[in-house]
Amino acid sequence: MTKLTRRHWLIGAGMLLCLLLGTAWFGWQMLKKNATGQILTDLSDRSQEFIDQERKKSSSSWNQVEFSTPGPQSGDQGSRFSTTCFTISLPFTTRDQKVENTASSCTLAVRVLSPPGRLVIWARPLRSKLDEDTAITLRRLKKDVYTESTLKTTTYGPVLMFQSGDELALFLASKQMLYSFAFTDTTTAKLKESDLQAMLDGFTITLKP
Amino acid sequence: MNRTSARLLTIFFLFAMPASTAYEMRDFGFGAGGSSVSDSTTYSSVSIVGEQGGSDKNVGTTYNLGPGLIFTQQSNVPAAPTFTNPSSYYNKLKFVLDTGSNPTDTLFAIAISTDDFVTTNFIQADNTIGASPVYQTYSTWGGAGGANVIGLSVSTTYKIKVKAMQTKYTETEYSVAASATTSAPTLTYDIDVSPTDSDTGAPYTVAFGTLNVGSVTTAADKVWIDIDTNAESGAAVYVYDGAGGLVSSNAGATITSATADLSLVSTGYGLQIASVTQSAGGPLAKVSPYNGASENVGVITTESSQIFSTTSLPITAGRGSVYVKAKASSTTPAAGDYSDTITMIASGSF
Repeated sequence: MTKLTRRHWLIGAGMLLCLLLGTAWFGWQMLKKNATGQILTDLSDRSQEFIDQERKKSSSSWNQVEFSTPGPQSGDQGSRFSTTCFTISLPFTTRDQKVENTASSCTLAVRVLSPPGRLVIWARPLRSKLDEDTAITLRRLKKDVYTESTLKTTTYGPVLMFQSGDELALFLASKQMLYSFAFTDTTTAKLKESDLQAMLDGFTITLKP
Repeated sequence: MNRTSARLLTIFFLFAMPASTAYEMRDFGFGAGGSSVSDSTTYSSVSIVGEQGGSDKNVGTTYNLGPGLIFTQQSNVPAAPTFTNPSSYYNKLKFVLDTGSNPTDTLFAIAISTDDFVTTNFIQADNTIGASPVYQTYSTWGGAGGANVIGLSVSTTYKIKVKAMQTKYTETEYSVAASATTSAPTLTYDIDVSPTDSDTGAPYTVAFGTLNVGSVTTAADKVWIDIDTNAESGAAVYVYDGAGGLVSSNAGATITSATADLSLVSTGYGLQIASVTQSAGGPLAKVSPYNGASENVGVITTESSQIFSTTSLPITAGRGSVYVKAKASSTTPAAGDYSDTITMIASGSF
């Protein structure tokens, strides 16, 4: 092998190594994205500027939009939350928890990182039977939008579940209180039944508000 | 017998009139019609000489003929009264007496029965039914406008007949009877949901579509009610809901209902009556706070509130419609499942 030929081989091997390293890095990033479910694209400067201007208007709906830094952050919260009505251990990584306790209800709202979406757990008085609550009647009236099923749980037995394109809601009635677990803006197909069962098995009703 | 003999005979009978220490017939007739009323502190008697007593009469299919003075001095037998159920009454019936061309001071008693007078009762002065006859003048019984006999049983046929009396010894036999039937108590109620006045079936859903921030949204469909009742004191329609507002499980939020001018508040939800009509009775009336105009709405709570009234009177073909209005603010969490269950019930006062 001549000196020139050996150099060509070395250059080729180097290029091949770089290609392999690049492919491995891209593959890792893709795996990481799937693992966290986060969209890794940052907003462009122009987008950020537009949104900042919109949010200065008090009536703008952009004020309701929540912004998040992609990927796991040091401030991300654990999985156990408490309200005056219930405690819950979530089998999800969450962020931006909001707890609201009133005289008659308790609300826990969190952002779920994987699969990305929002989860609102709401405890409120049940005025009549579960089947007659407006949340149930609405979903049953709109059969073209919602698919009804039941989720078997160890602690609470079968729980009513309604799914639509980007939302999944569970409804549980106990002692004249209605507990709803609503995932929204999410990919329902990625919500594992085992996680939902684990969530409800980690749900403990404490005191009425 | 010549004329002188006849005069002597007349004088003889005139001075040979019956008398006793207790009673005295002060006047009596002879021949074709002499009669007298005799009074003392204890008794009175009517006497007639030379005529038959008049207890029997000739009865025909159309007319009866009572012979003698007794029938002659009796009041006229009234014709059958008018006895009707003009407005599906379930506990009363209307009667109008016939005077029989008797004088205005003639008194009438009205017998009433549900078994063709096997058992007879009488209409009392307060228009209820009692065991003893009550005599009142034509005008006291309501005159030409008549009156209602009250306290009757539902779905029952009653017969009434009338007798007249002006003074003593003048009471007539009963008139021909008239009959009428009370109705069953009824309340018919229906709900429809439609932009215009038309009948629709369940399920009754009113859709808002998208609630725009800061502006009032009125659902295209209105809630319509039909109400028809013969309830003595009318009927009312009440409204309540499941949670006092539009509830979203997805957002964990409620657009709370309130009595307000939605154009002046940042958020709210409520009902406003759009129209009220009826073909008879009532009228159907809007009840505050649902009787506002423009964007003024009345609150819906979990406790029932009266929204329509028939003004405490029976009503025929009452029809009302209701707008459903809502407004979201910039802080109202967006969600696709805001909903409420509104219940409207009708109640009659029988």
